[in-house]
Amino acid sequence: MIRTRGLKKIYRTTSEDVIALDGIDMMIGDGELVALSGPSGSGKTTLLNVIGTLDSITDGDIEFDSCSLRTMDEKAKTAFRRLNLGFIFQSYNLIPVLTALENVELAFKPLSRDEMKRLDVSDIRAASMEVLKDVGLEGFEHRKPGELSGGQQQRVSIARAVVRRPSLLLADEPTANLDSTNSRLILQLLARLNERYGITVLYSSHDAQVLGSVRRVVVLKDGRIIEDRIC
Amino acid sequence: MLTLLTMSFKNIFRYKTRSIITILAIIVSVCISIVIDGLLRGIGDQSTVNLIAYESAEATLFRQGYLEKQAEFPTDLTIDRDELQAIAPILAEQGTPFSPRYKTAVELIYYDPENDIDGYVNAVLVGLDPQLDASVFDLPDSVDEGRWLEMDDEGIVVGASIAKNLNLHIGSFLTLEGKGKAGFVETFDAQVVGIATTGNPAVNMSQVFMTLDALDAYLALDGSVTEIAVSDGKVGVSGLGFADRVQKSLAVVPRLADVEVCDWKTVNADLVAVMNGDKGSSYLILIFLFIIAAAGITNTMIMAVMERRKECAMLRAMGFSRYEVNWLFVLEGAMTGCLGALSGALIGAAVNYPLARYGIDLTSMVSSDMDMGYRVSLIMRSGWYLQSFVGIPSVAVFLAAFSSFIPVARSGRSEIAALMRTA
Ligand SMILES: Nc1ncnc2c1ncn2[C@@H]1O[C@H](COP(=O)(O)OP(=O)(O)O)[C@@H](O)[C@H]1O
Ligand SMILES: [Mg+2]
Repeated sequence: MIRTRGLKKIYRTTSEDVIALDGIDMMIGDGELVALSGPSGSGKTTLLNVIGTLDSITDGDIEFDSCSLRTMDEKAKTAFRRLNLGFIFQSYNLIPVLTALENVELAFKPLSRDEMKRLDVSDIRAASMEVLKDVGLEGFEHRKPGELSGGQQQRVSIARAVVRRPSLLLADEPTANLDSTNSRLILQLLARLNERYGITVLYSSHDAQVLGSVRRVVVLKDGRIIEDRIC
Repeated sequence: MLTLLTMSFKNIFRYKTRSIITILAIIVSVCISIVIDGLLRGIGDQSTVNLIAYESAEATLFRQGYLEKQAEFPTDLTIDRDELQAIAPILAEQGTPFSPRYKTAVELIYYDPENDIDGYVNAVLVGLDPQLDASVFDLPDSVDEGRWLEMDDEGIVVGASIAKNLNLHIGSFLTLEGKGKAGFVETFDAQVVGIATTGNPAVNMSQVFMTLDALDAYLALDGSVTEIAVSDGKVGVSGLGFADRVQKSLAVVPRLADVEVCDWKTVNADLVAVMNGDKGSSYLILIFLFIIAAAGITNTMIMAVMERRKECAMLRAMGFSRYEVNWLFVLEGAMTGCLGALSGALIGAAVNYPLARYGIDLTSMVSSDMDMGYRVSLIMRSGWYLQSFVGIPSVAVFLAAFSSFIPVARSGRSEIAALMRTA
């Protein structure tokens, strides 16, 4: 369960202070799938980043289960990301020199020996192959990102994000670079992973069209929640 | 299994042209450094060997004060007969080869009426005991025309360059003009019996050898010598310790308190200083080369870090610590350095091979009379020095790793979100 309390983020630039998040209070239950919506510049990316511990917060707090973000130092945040979070970005961010399979396997690389538990090389290989199959990329394992289409690359990045079964998957505009067919496929995939593995999914989109099928949509404007709609 | 190492390695070849240029810069720096370092060490070593073998031995005994004025060949600061007679048994007993020598400045005058050739040249006349001298110096082996001096010889052996300049041959008669012990100028004739071509150009150019007995007769030396050269058989390495040991052994005779033992570095202080100075400026060039290569690597890595900000952000989002991400770049720099350093060392070895085996023959480039100070003949020879082949590439790898660390250390401190946001 994730709870934010009075979450504020102010970007201080030389010319002005930009209030990107202006008191966000919200709760996301385990296994929920939530879409963040709102116009460009409304604070979606900022919210995903601070929840993902990729950016600092200016005020307020975020609780993961009952663990407060405020109590985490750099090292704790790194470990937290490693063990609990998966990320998907608009621009895929795959490592271009590695194959699809290697990109997925890379997700296990930061794990310490303790965190690896009993996983060995063949387990990692098997899990990575399976998740690639899951996202429909069987047969593309040995292609480099440059040899894959945008939709395929995004599916590799989803595979990489979920292969370690994170409890929370954060996806910032995962469909922004894709055509409508591919967008739909990606969203269906996220919904399926949410259902099958119980991964909490929080994704953003400024495109109202892609939100049609989602049960809960949180709408942001100027750093505030203006609507939290559950249908 | 995929490792960070292979990832770094693959990253090197992501931008081929840029990496190749960087690696080439390292190759050139390492290769040139190895070759220059080898030549410098080779010349230095050869110079030392030739200095000791033909000119100044490992240590020399002088009367106190002589060394400071050695250029003037003072006749009043000699080691006298009775002192020599006290020193000789001490040295003989401890098994130290020694050679009493009398050095003085002379003018050599040559006239060949048959061919109407004449000329004169200033030289250093060395009076010596042919047998004792052979135990300290390698001169007898260097006589490639005629023969070395014999015990009751009246003849002289001249350095090869002198012979060439004055057009001397075996059997030529020379007139020598020098100052006797009492200070009067003496003139005498001598016949050339041998021509010495040593590896030491200073000797070839300036020295003439004659038996001490003959010289004593001409200059009325009364059995005195200007110096006693001593050797302990090991080239160059005995250094200071050896001179001190000899000095201590003389202390048993109070009369010898006025005799000092100087090692070859002290005797040739000026030359050693010049050589060290030359070395310093040559190494400065190498350091400069390395700075350029390091700047190239830093530049390459700055670009790599800039271009891969998003990737780095992604890696950190995945749970790599910022140190691991920095490490990736340092590894990349170090591996770039390794590629350059290894190839540079190999090419350096290939270039060094002919330099060590055959040397660079400068005969055609410089006139044989040119004195560069170094006691090497006109073939400069390099050597195989572990220090250059291990040290220089290691420095290159270390520098490469370090110069990659500078740009990443800075970007590692940014928030992940800030890295992610860059276009
Ligand atoms: N690094 C930054 N410095 C200054 N202002 C920023 C920075 N990042 C985002 N902002 C501002 O914060 C606000 C929210 O941005 P963002 O979270 O990217 O919105 P969205 O993802 O909904 O388009 C915008 O006004 C944006 O200009
Ligand atoms: Mg955004």
